[in-house]
Amino acid sequence: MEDQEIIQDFLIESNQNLSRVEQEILALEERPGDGQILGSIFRSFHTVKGTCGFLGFGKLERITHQAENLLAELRDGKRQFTPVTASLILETLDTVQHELGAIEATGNESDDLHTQLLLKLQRALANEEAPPAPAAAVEKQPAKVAAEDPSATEPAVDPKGDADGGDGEVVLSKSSTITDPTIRVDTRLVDRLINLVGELVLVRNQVLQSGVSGGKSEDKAIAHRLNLITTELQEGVMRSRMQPVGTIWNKLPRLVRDTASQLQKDIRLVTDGANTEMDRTILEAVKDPLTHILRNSCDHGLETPPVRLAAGKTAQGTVSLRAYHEGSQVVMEVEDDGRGIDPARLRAKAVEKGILTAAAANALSDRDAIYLVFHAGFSTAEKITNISGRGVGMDVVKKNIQSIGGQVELQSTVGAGTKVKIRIPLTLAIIPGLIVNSGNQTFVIPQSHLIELLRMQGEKQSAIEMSKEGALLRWRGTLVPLVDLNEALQLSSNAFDRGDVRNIAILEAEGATFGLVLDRIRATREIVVKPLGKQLKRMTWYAGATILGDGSVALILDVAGLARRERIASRGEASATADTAGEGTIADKKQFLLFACGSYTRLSVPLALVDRLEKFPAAQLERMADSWVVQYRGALLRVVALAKVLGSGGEECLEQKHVQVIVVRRGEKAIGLAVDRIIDVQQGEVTAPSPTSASGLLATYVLNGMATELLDLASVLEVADPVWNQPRWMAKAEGAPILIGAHSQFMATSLRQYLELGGYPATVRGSGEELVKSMENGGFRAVVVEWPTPDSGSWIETLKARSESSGIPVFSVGEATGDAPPQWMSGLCPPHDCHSLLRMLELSWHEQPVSSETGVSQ
Amino acid sequence: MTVVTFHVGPVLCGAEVDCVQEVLRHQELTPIPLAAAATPGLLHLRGQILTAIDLRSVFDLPARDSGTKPVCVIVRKGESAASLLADRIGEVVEVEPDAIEPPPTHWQGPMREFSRGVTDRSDQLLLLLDAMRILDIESSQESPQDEIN
Repeated sequence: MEDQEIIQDFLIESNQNLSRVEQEILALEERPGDGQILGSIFRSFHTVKGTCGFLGFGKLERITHQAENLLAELRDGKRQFTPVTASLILETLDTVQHELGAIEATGNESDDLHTQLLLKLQRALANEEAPPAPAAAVEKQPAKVAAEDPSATEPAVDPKGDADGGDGEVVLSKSSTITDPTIRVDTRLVDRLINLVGELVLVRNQVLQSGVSGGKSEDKAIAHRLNLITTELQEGVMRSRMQPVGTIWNKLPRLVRDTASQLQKDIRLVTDGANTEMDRTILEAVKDPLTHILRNSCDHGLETPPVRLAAGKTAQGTVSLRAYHEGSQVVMEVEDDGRGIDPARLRAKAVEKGILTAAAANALSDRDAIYLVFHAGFSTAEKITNISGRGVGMDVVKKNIQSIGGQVELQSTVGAGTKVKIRIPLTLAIIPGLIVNSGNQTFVIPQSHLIELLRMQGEKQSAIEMSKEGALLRWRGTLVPLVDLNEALQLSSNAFDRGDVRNIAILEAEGATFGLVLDRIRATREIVVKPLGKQLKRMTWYAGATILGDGSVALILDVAGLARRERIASRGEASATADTAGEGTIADKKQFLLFACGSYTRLSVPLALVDRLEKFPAAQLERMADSWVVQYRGALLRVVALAKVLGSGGEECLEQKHVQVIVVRRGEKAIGLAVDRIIDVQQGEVTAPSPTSASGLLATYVLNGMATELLDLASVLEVADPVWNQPRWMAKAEGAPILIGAHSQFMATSLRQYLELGGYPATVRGSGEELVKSMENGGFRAVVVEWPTPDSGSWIETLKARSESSGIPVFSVGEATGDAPPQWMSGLCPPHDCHSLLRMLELSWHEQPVSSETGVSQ
Repeated sequence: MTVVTFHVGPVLCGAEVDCVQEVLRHQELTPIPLAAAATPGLLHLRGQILTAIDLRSVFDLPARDSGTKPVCVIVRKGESAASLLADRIGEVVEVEPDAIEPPPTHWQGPMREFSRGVTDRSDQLLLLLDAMRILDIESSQESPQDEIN
């Protein structure tokens, strides 16, 4: 029993040591002769050898002994570190790891004697033996080492004194000398802790609720402290699930090295951001796709040295691996400077394989054509190697990434290289979700599928059309199928029958876009995803469930599953064909501005969204901070290169003699988008739109017989000008003030700050009675009430009556715990969420279902 | 072996004490739209979400009167868990393994499918539930081919 434990410890320790060795050897190839690294490798083998002898694993002991001899000579400078030696040590390492695996599985060494390897090691030692006393040196070495042992296990003997170290950069050895401040914890324990913290949060919420209404200030202080501690605890426990991406990267240098030598290429791997942390379950799920992408880059992307030299590049190809945080996502990029993906070849291949018709292939833009690599059974490798190119791969990569809520993007320039960008959520355990109601039940929609929220009222409902395929919504120039959640889940009478479709969430999953009709949209929240029992696994339209603040359970909708259940894809096609057939009712006639920009030759934007077209002499453009401005109508107009925003080029268009600019305006605020050239203004119908995943674009469609890309102006502006949305609120400053009914001083102050930030003057009233009285006097645009109220007396009814008679909307702000606000109040906005509050207000006086301005883009 | 018994309509059921985690009074359920009647809802139990399995529905018995609330027998086997809804809890009894017989031949359908045997209990037959199988119940109103599309 005890033996078992010792062996277990030995395995864990050895595996840890040896996984470091691999990296160290690769580092050594960069800095041969680095004494510290050599010392560290030596010690790792030495430790394994020592323990093997103790545990009676004779064969492992022999192998590690020989390797140790070799390393001792390297360390003592008696032998040069050559690639041959490196390969030999790596081979030894593999063998040792293989044996450790055997021990783990069977408790004993494998039957393989590894005579080949031993022979190689012996030959290496004998052949290049240092001149003096050959045989003696081999024999003596271990004895000497053993004597040295105490100092050898004290690695920091001479940290600064690596006289032979080339660059003095000793990152690797440094990390190995410090005592590891971490402990190993069973992940199940962590998961249980997370569960318990979730429970604690619920209890906290209940305490806070009773604390607020209880009134005693002492209780309040305690509740407040509990609140703070719980929040911090929750964050801490959540963080304990995080791991740096470096943990899955450390196998990759070896992979690149082996691939390179196998393909006779010279490849340099550059990594950046290995410390970026993310949930370990996601990390695991991303490992294989990432390996595959990297392998693809080495195999298909990078050329052999002669080809590279002929193309005027350096013989050594570079693959860079980057990771960084972007919002609540982690982005991983694999970029090579290889030959790039040739869209023409992909089109040809797609036609040849029968994936696309020739016409459809030609209609694809270059940018879309390269996405063909994600098509199942698509491999363009001229020869199939044993590294990649078996035709399974990129489609599986994409599927795997999508299954964890991520996306894959592809950018490529022929001759210059390819960049694969993976976006993945930080954690699967907590996702941002939209809390909605339908049929008196609460559901959660994962934000990652949400494109836009629409609120339909009055004449805006004409955007909804009934066809034999079901309801369709005219949205952003296309028709999307509408699904009523009430109907889909057979909850209660559906909204189309009632004729009061009000809330629509535009959702996207697996390439299908549709609108989901909901009774009520409540709030966005970070929710903890809990799996459903296996009894429900066939109900693919549920992704899980979550526990809301009040302890009740809400089902999380699986948007892709719901779309499949409602057969959205086929309905989408049907509506598109109806379009081409020219049935009239659902065609969308509009004027479009056509222009070229970067790698896009035919981009379009609805003319109605364009303010003016201007041409400025290049000399008029001035550099200000990190952007370009031009004097325009007595003000400074900021000009950005659209190609750069779209990621399809640089700022070339600003270097022309005359800069062609599309001016977009909203209120006082304007911005100029510089493009390469204007093509035309055409009136036409949007036919056969297909959504595109390229950033900044909405869809590819056919305009007057030509494939055309439709610009997503809203998202472009968001990227081009992060504060674009702000002045829109500012413009409201002259309106009537907004009345705030908040019983806590803190809430009152923060609400007023938010409103004023959004450009709304605000007036605060403490109690319900005061609020109602102020309303009587009128002169307010809207009322914002802190919910729940401690004194839910009759004034609420009065408030309702006043709101109805005056038409002044009433909004509620507060935690979605406990009693929900009455139905007649608009939404429950989470507290301390300035953006949501302003958006909610915005929505209420700005019902614009078709414009992207009301969008909640995620 | 030790068995926890509970009543489901006229049927006396029993589950091995090892797989019964706890018994709770009636709990509020969150309905699962489109689910079969056998799985009427979800239950929140200390951070975990469990599927409720209504034994009346499983055994094709008439539904409970709206006035009476079922009890929840939380059953766990390995990683899988669920809450069985029964009419009322019985007692904890010892059953000799030798006394377990195969279900009577006139039992067909679910009663046979979900039992691992029966044993005589004074004047009533005690149906020993096959916990594994009952936890494996799948819920969906849809016919299988409907889902492939």
